[in-house]
Amino acid sequence: MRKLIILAMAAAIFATQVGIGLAMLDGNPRQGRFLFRQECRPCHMENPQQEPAGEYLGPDAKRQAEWNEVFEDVQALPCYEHWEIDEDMLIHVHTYLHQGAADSPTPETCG
Amino acid sequence: MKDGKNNISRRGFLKSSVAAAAVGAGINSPLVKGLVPRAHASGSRPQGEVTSQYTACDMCFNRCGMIARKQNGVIKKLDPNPNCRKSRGMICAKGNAGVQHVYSPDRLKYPLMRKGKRGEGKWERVSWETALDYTAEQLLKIADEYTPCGVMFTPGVDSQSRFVQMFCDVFGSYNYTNHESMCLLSRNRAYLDTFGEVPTGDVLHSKYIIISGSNPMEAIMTPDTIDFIQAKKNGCKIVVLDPRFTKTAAIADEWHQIRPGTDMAFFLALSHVIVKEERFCCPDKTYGYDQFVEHIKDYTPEWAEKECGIPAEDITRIAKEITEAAPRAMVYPGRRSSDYEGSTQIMRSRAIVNVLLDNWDRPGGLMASREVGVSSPDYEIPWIPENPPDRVDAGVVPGLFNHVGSFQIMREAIIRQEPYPVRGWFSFKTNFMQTGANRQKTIRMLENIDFFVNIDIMMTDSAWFADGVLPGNSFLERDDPVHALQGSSACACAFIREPVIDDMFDSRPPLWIIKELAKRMDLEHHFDFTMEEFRQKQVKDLEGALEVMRQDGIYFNPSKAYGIYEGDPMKTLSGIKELYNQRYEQWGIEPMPVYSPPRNPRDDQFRMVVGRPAFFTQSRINNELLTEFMEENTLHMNPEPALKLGLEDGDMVEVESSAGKGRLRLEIDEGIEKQTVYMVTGFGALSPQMSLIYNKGASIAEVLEDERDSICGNMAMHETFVNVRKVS
Ligand code: SF4
Repeated sequence: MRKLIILAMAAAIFATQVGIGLAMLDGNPRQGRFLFRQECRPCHMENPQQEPAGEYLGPDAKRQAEWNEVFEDVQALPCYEHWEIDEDMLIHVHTYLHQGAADSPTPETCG
Repeated sequence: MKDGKNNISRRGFLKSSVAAAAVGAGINSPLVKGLVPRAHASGSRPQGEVTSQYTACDMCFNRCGMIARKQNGVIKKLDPNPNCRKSRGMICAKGNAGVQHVYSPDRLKYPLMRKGKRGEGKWERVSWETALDYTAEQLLKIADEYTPCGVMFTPGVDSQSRFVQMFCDVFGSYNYTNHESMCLLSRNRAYLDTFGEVPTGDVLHSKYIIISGSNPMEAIMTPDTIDFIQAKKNGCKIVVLDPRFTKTAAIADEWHQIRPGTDMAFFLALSHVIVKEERFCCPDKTYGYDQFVEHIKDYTPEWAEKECGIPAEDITRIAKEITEAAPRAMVYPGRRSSDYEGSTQIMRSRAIVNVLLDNWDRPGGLMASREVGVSSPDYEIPWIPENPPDRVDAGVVPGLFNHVGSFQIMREAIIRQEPYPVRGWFSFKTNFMQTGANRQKTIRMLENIDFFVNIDIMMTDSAWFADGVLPGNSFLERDDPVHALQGSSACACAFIREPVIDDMFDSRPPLWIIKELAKRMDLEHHFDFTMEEFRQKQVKDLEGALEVMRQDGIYFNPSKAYGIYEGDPMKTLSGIKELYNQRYEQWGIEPMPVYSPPRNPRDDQFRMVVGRPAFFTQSRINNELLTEFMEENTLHMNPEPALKLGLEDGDMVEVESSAGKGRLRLEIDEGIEKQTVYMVTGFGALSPQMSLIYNKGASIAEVLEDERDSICGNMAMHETFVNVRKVS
């Protein structure tokens, strides 16, 4: 019976696309990647090309919980006012960073 | 190798391959210029100086260091690179046979376009210009009609596969997969979900190793295969669980003939004893210890004995012995794990025993990834709004690896054309027609593929069904990017390849092919680099590394081997080792492995298990030096059922499942479980241009049904039941 319930739960989870655990994170990670690279990356790369220069950032620079914390209070970020992205776009970026976080299901590649 | 046969045959092979290659090569080819004069006028031409050049093997994924010996423009011999710690200065039979890989008369020589029906074998030789124009046009046409996600990209194990990934990304498709979803994904899923990382085993320094679901003495893995022998000499005890008496079982201290598919029962019972006897030091370093103790309370050795057939007293004894050796002890993580629908959870039960041995990041236990320091040059991936929202195989299993997906699920999706159509296939060095269970389904999938282009060095079974076949060059003709490798406690290392000989025939490097296609698609700016420029970017943080690679054939990073985490959290959700997996709970699947007995074959059936011997790599067996070891595969069967079926050693039998059938000879094998039969991969080729294996033996892809791991979508290749009958 437990197995049945679990299977039913699994089906529900897929149906609503909240497999990553948070209902709000239903953005498109690929669009998020594109936006991240456009908006955030120029300042958050090894040799920053724009001001204000920040530390290197990629999805795996933080854990999932840490990314959630960042996006909970996103207006507090010093670079927030420089962004040109709306709420929807933010969700895409958050989804991208969350899915690739250090403790996400990051795979080893073969060979 | 049979009595002295190898020497004679190798000489014979050189003569015949030279002659055959000369016929097909054209007068201006380097092969003809280099070999024919000598072949016909032995002694009349001065022997040139033998030159040596470092390279790395590509006959399997291990990439052992090599030295190519060349004379008069011809590679005469491949020797091991003694500097290569990863391979412990060894190359195996396959590595030695790399010469034949290059000079095989079966090599593809020119670009070909299909003329007849798929699989009919009618081809037209075309120029590169024509082949590239047509390929680019077809790919663009599909992208235009179905979005770029309408093309599937499948690169094989190769240093240049990264460029196929790049091409796929900048073309705009998400539908990328490779052989991994028919190989190691269940292991990766389980270890990632227990430790947050996929480890390597520190075999050399271990004192006690259990090997289950793995056969490293035949499926060679360097340095492990070599280290097992040395570890044994150093007093390490090796316990093997396998339904077959494998070569690994032959070197073990103990072999237990476990019932197929019941390994989880053994490991849960082992955990039960370790926990009950308070042999685990550190419950506070794990997540969900109390739930786990409750979970395994009924998984006693006596219960496990009934399931797996291994006596309860042995399970209890092994639990004591291995914990006494811990932390220099392990359940070997292995590699291929594409066995059962429940493979991820079976692997989790093994990983959990490793948690209980407290061996993570410690000598003789499991090792985290060491720093190699090779960077991955960055590139822009376009955002294409008209693309569908996700991969074509998304949303079917909870633990899909986003970047490789699952071939099994993709194939289903392409056949059904849901959630959206995928109508193009770009393949480089993959041969799913031989490695993907249920070949008939792959052929069915092709009915929905409008254009299939295949880059390889031979006319594999997959190439045989393609619309365009592009001849890639071999690893000994190539400039390759820097390739980083983990070598367990031996090393973290990197190497490059530079051409030992010029491109044979009209073959070309994969990167050249991709650049040419990119030009025709307005994507060339993504590939605006030379190989050397690319390498420089890869080693930007490793001053002098390229020079060392050139000088010694390999660069070692003296990075930390143990204690890499030292105080840092693990990459699991909890930051510690997860006995109870939180993500599984979120996904709605069992957070701890729950045993359910495997389905069993009926009395008149057998379970089919598959594997590979030490001299073949999956389907890459069309090599004259290697087929000397085995000219065709056989079906291993225990003498007792063979007697009941009236079968004798050497009889021709037909083995049949619901997916398909094949004919091969019977081999009576006293070391195999009674209701299990075994055969090796790669035979039963459909392509007549795989001349050594065409129609020889049976293909696993033809006979195996295509079940899948219910968590990560890895192919499940040991779920097939077959009937066996004698045929004339
Ligand atoms: S194990 Fe053998 S085939 Fe594989 S890379 Fe090493 S030498 Fe080559």
